[in-house]
Amino acid sequence: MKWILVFTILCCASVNQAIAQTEVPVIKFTDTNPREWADDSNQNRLTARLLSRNTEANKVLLECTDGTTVEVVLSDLSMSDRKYIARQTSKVKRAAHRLERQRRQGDEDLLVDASQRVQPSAKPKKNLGNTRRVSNLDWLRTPQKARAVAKAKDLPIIWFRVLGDIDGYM
Amino acid sequence: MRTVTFSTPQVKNAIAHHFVPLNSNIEGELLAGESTGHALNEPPGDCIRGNGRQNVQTIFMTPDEEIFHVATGFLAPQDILTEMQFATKLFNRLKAEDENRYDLVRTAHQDVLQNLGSSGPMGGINGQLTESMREMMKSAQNGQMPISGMGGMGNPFQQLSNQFMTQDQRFMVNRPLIHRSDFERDPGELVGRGKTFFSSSKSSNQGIPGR
Repeated sequence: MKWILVFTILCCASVNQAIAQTEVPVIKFTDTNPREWADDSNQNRLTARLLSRNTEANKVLLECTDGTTVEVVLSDLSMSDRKYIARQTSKVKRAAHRLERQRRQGDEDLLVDASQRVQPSAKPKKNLGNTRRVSNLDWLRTPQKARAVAKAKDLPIIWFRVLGDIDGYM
Repeated sequence: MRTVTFSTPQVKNAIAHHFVPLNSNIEGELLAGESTGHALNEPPGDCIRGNGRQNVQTIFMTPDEEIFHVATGFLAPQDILTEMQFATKLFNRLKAEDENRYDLVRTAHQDVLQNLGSSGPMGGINGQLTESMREMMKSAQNGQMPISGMGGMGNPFQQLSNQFMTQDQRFMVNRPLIHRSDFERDPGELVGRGKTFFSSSKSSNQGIPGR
């Protein structure tokens, strides 16, 4: 009986350890600044810094100016706050992606002779102001601009609503 | 879509000559879907028409930002050309119409709805096309560009795609010429209120958490 009890405790301990080791989908933000946050009704406000986002639980952790932390459900925040979080998330993901690509490139470089490497083009990106160029198409970024152009040309607008940056990481 | 559809010359030309292209990033919107992240140069995954409708919406508007046609989810080159033909024709008719604009949009989409089950995605509404669009369609049919994501994928896929298209058409029947700002306030009527996840990349980015 005693052995059964010991065995059960050991099993529980290893299961707990396995749960603790399971990767939690938390994105940490290291270089965010304090800003004002509002709830969905814009009635309650709070000055805090974005610390992390749990993508599974759809929650974010904010650090107030006095050092206390508060966890907020994403859907309780205002639209502009959610957009801010999405932008910060994209930034972190882009950085992670860039690192991963550099790591892979580094691995490949070890296998390729230095003289055979193709040098990346030094041509600067064309500044298109309020547009994004993808596949040689200049996508306007604001409805107001699209409206003005469409009226001038008497053409319909094709509006491509998409998750992520059209010319970047999606 | 940006990898497959917008890089197709016929699609690029059609957009450049017949439309004003506008793009919005819907990240952060409550009803936006989720996706594994992928870069512009990564290979696309297999899609059928209408895949990931919460992630991608192609919306046609008048210069006054009234929505007169929608196509949600993934559109292969031939699909978007068909949608653009429909939109161009409807837009030209709208310009000539003063009083019954709402009825015109409603009727056009009701016709599509009636035809969906029997004569293909856009059967019965092709009508008069602009000459350049006709050329684009001809070259698409001659195999000079990728064929529709729906084509050759078998009946269940076609049925699923038809369901997506039916939902798009119903939205336009119910909300003809809805203004962009009204639509943005509640896109749920078009894309649904559930959360969808869409992975469009086969490459090695699966380790990066989805949105």
